[in-house]
Amino acid sequence: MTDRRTDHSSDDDSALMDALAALEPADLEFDAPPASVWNAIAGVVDPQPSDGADLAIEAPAPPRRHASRWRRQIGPAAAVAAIIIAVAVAVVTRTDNHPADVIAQTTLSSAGLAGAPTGLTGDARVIRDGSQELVHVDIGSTRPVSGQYLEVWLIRPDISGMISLGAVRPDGNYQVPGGLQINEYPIVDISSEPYDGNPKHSGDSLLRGELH
Amino acid sequence: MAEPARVVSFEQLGRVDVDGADLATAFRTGSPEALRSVYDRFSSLIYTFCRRSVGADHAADVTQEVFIAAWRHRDRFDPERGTLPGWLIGIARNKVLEALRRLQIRIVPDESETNPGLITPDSIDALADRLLLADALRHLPERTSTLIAMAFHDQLTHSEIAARTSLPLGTVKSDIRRGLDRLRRDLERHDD
Repeated sequence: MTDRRTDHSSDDDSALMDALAALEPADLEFDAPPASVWNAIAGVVDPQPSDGADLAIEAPAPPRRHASRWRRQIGPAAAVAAIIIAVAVAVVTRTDNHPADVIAQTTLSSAGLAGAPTGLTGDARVIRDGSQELVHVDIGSTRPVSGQYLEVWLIRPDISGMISLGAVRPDGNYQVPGGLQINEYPIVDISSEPYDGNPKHSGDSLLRGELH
Repeated sequence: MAEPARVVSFEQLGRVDVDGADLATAFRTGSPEALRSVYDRFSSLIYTFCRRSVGADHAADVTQEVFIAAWRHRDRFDPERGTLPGWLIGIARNKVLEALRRLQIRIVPDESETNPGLITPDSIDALADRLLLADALRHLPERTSTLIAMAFHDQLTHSEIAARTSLPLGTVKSDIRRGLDRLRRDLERHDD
């Protein structure tokens, strides 16, 4: 026994080797559960769409003190779950853009934006559509000045990062890049951009709002 | 504003083909595909543990309880503190003890009566540990799993294994070494 042990052992494996030696033949006989078990689990985990309460997203991490309501509800801990789980809702409701698809929204305003005309307003909504998230932006009466175009951005609260969703489109729908945690970029910003080929934000914002 | 979406459709309970830490992470973040994958990977472990603890008549029910509880409390699973199968079997242990208490209240009303054949919390824990190891063992590559069983279950030396399997001695040694490393990784957890 001793020489057999040293045969296999070069370090601190003795506990593992003892455990392996202690396995009984029955320990190696595994059975799969009957199919009814998974069906029962799926039945519980899959509540009727009309009630929707049973599979509440588990409480995310405690809210940070200054987190907005939206960010508390879709905190980082639950964001992935929310995105994936929402696919199902979108599948159920996509045909009529049911209000349940709107997961965050904000009004947009030019108030407080240096250089922007006063009184511009709009709104933005984050919509789940199938496996995608869309931002729908209504820019109201906002129009680009001659020689410029409007661009849609998602921006971090501390302005440490921003992502362009592209030039303003007539239908107002912008696909959120897959994998983007949109709650990390809650500020919707509409900028006026010159045709200068510079991909960076011009610094001239016309509308802004924070999703919540 | 609308509430965040809160339901999963049955169709979404598909499978994701991920492994190990990725699966644990996907599970923790609530991917319903991950639940199915976790079930596929570990339901035999949990069911077998339940069958051997509470008997075949109750094993399916307890297994179901385990996975539903695991899903509902997935935010409590901390990959930093233990493995997913270790966490699952910890839940299973508690569900088994609950079930045994229910059953024993009916079957053995006199709790003061000692019965050496009775399942105890200690024997449940020992079974859980053995089955965790056996489950990790059977998920090793087949040859590695066989060689390790020959070495530690049949107590054969490396030379004897090489002779019986017609594998080079070096292959036997390296296979077993890699297998042990893998098992140790798979089983690493904090018994808090």
